[in-house]
Amino acid sequence: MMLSLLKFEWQLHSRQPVFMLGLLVCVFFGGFLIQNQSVDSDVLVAGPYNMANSICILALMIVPFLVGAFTGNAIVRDRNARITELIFSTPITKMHYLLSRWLGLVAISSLVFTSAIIGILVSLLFSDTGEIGFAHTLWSLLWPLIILILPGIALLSSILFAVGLFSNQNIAVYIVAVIIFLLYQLLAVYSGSPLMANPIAPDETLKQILSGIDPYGATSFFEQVKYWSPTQRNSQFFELKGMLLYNRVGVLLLSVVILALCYRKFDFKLAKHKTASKSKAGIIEKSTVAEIQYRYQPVQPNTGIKASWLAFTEQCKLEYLSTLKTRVFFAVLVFWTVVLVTEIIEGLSSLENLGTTPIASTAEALWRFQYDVLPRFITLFLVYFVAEMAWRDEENNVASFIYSSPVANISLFFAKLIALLLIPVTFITIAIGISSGLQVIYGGQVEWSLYLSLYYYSGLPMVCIAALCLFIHSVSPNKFVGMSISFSLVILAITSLGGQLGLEHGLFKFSTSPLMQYSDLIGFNSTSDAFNGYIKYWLSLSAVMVLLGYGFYRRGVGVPLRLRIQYIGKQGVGKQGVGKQWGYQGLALMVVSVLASGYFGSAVFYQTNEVAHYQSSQERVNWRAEYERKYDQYEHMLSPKVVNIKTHMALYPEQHRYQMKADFTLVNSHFESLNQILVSTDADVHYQNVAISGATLSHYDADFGQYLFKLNAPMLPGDRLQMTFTASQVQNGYLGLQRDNLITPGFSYVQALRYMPFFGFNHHYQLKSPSLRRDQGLPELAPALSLEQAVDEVKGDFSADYDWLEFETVLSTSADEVAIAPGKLIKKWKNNDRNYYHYKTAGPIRNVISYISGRYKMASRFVDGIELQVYYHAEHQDNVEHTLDAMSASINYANKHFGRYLGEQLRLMEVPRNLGLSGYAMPETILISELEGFRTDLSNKEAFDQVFRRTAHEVAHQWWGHGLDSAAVEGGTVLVETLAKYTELVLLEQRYGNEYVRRLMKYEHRRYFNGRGYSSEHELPLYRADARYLVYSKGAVAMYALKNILGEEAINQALRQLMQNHKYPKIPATTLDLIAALKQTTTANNYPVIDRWLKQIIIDDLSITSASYQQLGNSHYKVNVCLQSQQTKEDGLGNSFAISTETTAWLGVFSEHPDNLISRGSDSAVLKIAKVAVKSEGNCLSWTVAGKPTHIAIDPFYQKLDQQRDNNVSVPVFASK
Amino acid sequence: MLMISNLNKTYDNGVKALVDINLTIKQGMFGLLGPNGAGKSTLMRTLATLQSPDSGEILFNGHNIQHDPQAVRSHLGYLPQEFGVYPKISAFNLLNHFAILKGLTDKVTRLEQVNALLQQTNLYQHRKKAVSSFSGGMKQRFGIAQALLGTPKLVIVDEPTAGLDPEERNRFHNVLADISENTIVILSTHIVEDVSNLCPDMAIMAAGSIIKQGPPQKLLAQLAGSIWRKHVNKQEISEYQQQFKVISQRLVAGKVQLHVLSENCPAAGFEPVQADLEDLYFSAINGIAARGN
Repeated sequence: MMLSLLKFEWQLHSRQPVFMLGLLVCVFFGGFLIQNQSVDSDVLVAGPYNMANSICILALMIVPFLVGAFTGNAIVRDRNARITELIFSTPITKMHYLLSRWLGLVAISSLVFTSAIIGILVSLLFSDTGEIGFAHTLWSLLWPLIILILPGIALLSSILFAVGLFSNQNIAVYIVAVIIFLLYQLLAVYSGSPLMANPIAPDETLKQILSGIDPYGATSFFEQVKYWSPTQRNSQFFELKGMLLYNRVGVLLLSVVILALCYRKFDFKLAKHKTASKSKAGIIEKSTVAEIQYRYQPVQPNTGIKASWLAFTEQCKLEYLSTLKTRVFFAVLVFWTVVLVTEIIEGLSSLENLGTTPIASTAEALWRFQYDVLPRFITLFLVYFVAEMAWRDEENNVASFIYSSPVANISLFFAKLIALLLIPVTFITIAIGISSGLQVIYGGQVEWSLYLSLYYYSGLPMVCIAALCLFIHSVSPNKFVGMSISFSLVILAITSLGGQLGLEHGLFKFSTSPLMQYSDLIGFNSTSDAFNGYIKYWLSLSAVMVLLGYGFYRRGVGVPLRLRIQYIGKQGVGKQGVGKQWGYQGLALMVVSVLASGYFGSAVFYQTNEVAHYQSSQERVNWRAEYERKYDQYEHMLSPKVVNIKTHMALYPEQHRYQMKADFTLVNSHFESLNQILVSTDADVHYQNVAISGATLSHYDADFGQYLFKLNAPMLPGDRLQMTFTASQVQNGYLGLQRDNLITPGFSYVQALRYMPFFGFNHHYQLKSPSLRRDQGLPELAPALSLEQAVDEVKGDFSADYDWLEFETVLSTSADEVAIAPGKLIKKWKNNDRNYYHYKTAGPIRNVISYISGRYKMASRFVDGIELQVYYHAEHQDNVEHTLDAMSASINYANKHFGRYLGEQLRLMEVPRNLGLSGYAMPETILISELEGFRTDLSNKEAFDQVFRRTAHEVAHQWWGHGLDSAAVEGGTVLVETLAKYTELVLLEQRYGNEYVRRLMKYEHRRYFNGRGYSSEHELPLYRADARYLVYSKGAVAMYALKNILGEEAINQALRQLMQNHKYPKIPATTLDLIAALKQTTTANNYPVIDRWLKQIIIDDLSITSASYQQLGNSHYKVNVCLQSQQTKEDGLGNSFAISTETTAWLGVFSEHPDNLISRGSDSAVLKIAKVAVKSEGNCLSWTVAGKPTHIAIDPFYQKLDQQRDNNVSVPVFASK
Repeated sequence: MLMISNLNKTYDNGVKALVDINLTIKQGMFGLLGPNGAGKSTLMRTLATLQSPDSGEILFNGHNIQHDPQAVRSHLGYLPQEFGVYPKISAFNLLNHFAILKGLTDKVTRLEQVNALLQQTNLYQHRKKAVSSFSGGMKQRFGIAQALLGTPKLVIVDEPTAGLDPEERNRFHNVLADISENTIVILSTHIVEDVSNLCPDMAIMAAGSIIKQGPPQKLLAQLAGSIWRKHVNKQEISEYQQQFKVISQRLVAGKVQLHVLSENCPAAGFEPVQADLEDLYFSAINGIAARGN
């Protein structure tokens, strides 16, 4: 009985459209999730940890909706299908009835969700996943699926089943599903779940609660693996034990309990009011007479244009409304709303870490969904809706009415097409409504014109998708085939999967164009030209498909495709309406469309391949390998250095181009004379008239942009030569935005470094990946030298690494823009309706030269004789003063403590958010992103002052990086980033007090452990490190700890000394010089602590093993606490061992949780805080405090790298004696 | 006038649905009788321009409907044997929608006709309810209403009275009879009574072919005097079937009443009966069966 009931359930569910849709969504999301994961990340994509994590993310996104959608069919269906009478009158028992429905629901939901594994596996097949076997990966997927997700599905099924059973309303089921979805996300965010993109500091209580009730057990899972190393994450499976086990059992029990309650409460009878409605209607039918009697009279039908038009509009309305009124559409709409609301709220309520929030601008809201969520979401669901619409008449069995009516094919076909187009319009309109509404709630200003542009930029590609799918369905024998083909093509279009099949070029990615991101500074301008080019191509191609689709329009029963093809163009000779479609006009349109798509396609190809120099990734690899084979003969040939650059640079932002004339002074800085000079030029820039005085061009290689000059006379050491050339570039958006080379109205940024000539063999072109080198038959690259080896190699003198020069330019741009380059502004004038600027540096600067032009306003201030300038978008003035304050403070501090600033001016430019940088420092020039710098809401006083912090950091690089130019060896980045972090910290402390910095310390602390946990390489000691989590985060913690021990003045003195001894043109510094300088300013007893932070890897685990308190009277209390210290030392080669030296740490007694006190000023909640010694075998001590202690904490303010934080805080127990 | 000549259709699975069909149908009701699977629906669909024949020609008032389907569609009322409706659309809206598709562009006359048809089919009270929620009979009446939209000159109704109660069926027959005064109405059915009551002309179809065609009276005249009846016990049936051309058998008061086709009195105990359409029908299709054997 049960078995046959279940079999029936299966048949019923598997025939529903949601089944197919669910499968598609799961497979797609599974694949998509993996596609978007970086294979370069440290934890292997196919490893057990990442697989479990991915499965959890999928479950969180999909399961509530999946179960919700099936619940409708599982239980509400009887009412909808009006077969309740039939069911309830069969001998089926209540138990069987409920159980079969519930089991069916669980089974179908589980099955459909499991199909995500297919998507994941297929996607893994196409990515470089590292050395993990298939069986291992499969089990890595199945294990979390069985342990985590299936019980979750059971629980959600029970909940939604109960809702459906008692409400008998689909809408109630959906609402509860959405609530579950949102609630889980909310809890996940506030419990700091790694599932969320930006987890916040976890609330421990909430985390406890969630680990109990988490339907997927993800909270306990993540707790279990929190401190796993990459190796563990890649090999070890989580275990069903502890909290996870309790949670799993609890979840299953709860679902059974809910089901049991359903059984008890559910009345297995018909609701009373539902009886006899039909017979009543029958009585009315016979007794009532209509008020007005109409008389049937034949009406002559029309067949003209008017009839066609009316039929078209009517049919269009009906098609659209019929789609709208479906349950699936409603569910998708709810889903869309949920996705948007969560995305936009997240965007408007958090900008970056430490609680910063943005100004709720339209650009900000769009940033969250316009370029990724919107196109993918609509495309995916459009595939489904096209299928529904294309087969609606057949499926509803209305086709024979429609096809036998005199309505023209053109009305029917285009009604479908237009109705389809209304679907993306609907989604976009809803997106605009939600986004603008949220903006208003968050107090932002709504830019309607920007929102309206979505119909163009996001709507038109959807038109193409609709046309493509409609065409596919018109030639497809059935809905399933049509949908499968459409789905595959769409996946090729919107993912990078096609690249794996050799379809990498944009011309293969139907309906798409290079990423379109919006910035207030440049609008969509960076790639809108490519959008326009591509969309013309896609639209004309769509026209071809619409015409074909119309030509093959299926009218009638069983008209085979071959017949439809046969008759497509023949007016009036087809059979039964087939082939009546086109006529001569159609044929003409077809010809025009084909020609147009050919033309526009060629235009795209020309712009991409010729103008933008497109290379497929394979071509690029081949090119680089070929370069190396051809030119590595020059690898050891000495080259001259550029010591002076003079240019005339004309920027034409409206035309996306520039024109440059340059004069380079070259000097032979070696002890040998030179006979040849190899000049390497970039392929994207058009070079002309490259000439070197006293040298003859002996070889020019256009493929690689190489010029080999033979010197007429040997260039003796110290000799100078002039090199001249002109360079120009025309840029388009066909390869997407170039982050270091963007010429567009509103903002242009040409980073000269990569695009100006190189001398000698260009190591940047070399392939670095060992596997690629093997493929190309290139020898292995020699391993990088260690710091000590490198020092030996050059005998301590890294001067050859220097690339410094004097720079002078005459820079011009459009009349409405300001142009900026390094150096002092000598002169400024207007000519021919263009702005001209003459810049010249006071002395040599690092060769990191940029030309910037923008529609800027400028604010300036003189500090210590230096002009500080902030260039900003006219409407982004809110943070300008604060930025200037931060610059002033930094300049003052650094001038005083590190040495005098080299230039006479320091300029800070706002740059578009889509440039992909938050802050970037070049000599005399700082770039700060529109997003993090100028659109941060400074009125939010809860937030950490990231604007000040970032500005201070980038200003500090004028000393650390562009003042002290470190040697290019291991640890070189420490002298740039760690010292900038230090400067940032002392400046924050100066402005906001040391409590304020604790908050940042806590963040850096976490960032270090996260980075460490996610790193694929063994941690190196700081002085050799270049990894970001080390040079920034560990560096910050280390420098702050050293500052607190050695004192700010001692550190500054060391840094001043370092600068004095190693700034250009003196010998560049290494981290060994930093350590030496630090030791010089302090006494020998501090050497171990310097070594500990900079040369060793030591990780603490301090803990409070017991704590109690006694009341002493007159509100004094005695606290007894026992402490223990565990320290782990690593050797940088992957070996670790415990060490047992005593350590000192802060111990605090509080009347509140110390986490609450981070960033709070000197607080009465701190009863006592002092440094204490902690031993590895443990030690105890007693304190007397004036106030009731609620918390005792060791290292409460994150001064140590303590990997286990939950044993640092203890609630003391009351001891009576 | 509808002229069908040499119409053939074989489906991909080899079933011969239409075999050399020749028919000329004039104004008035035309009954098409035949058992299930005889090819009636294929013929209906072909006439309704939904399907193309493999060969042959259909002329409607001189227009070749394969070449110019619009000519017939403008004046076609078609009620297929099975049909569905769009979900969640009211009877009024759906009928109005079909009226627009039929080309009724003038709003006033269109609405007048839609309402009249709803009244005529007794759906007026339910016009605001979704057709998808209708009972079988109501839905069938809706189908009839839509077939009468516009000015139908060719009405094709395929098994129209299935699911209707006797009163509804009578009403429907009256409507058909009314419009058949200046319209071709093709009534496909397997209910002999419907044809005998309504149709001045008819054809009997079996296995894709027309096996009898003509006015019922004329066809019946051919059978005059050759139908014999006898009441027998159930056990004797097979014996009779072997000896005589039994064309039908039916239970009457516990005994089986056999009709036998024979020029003369087949045997003792048989009595002559006046041939009716049912005898004609059964003799025709059983005759085919015998020929097949």
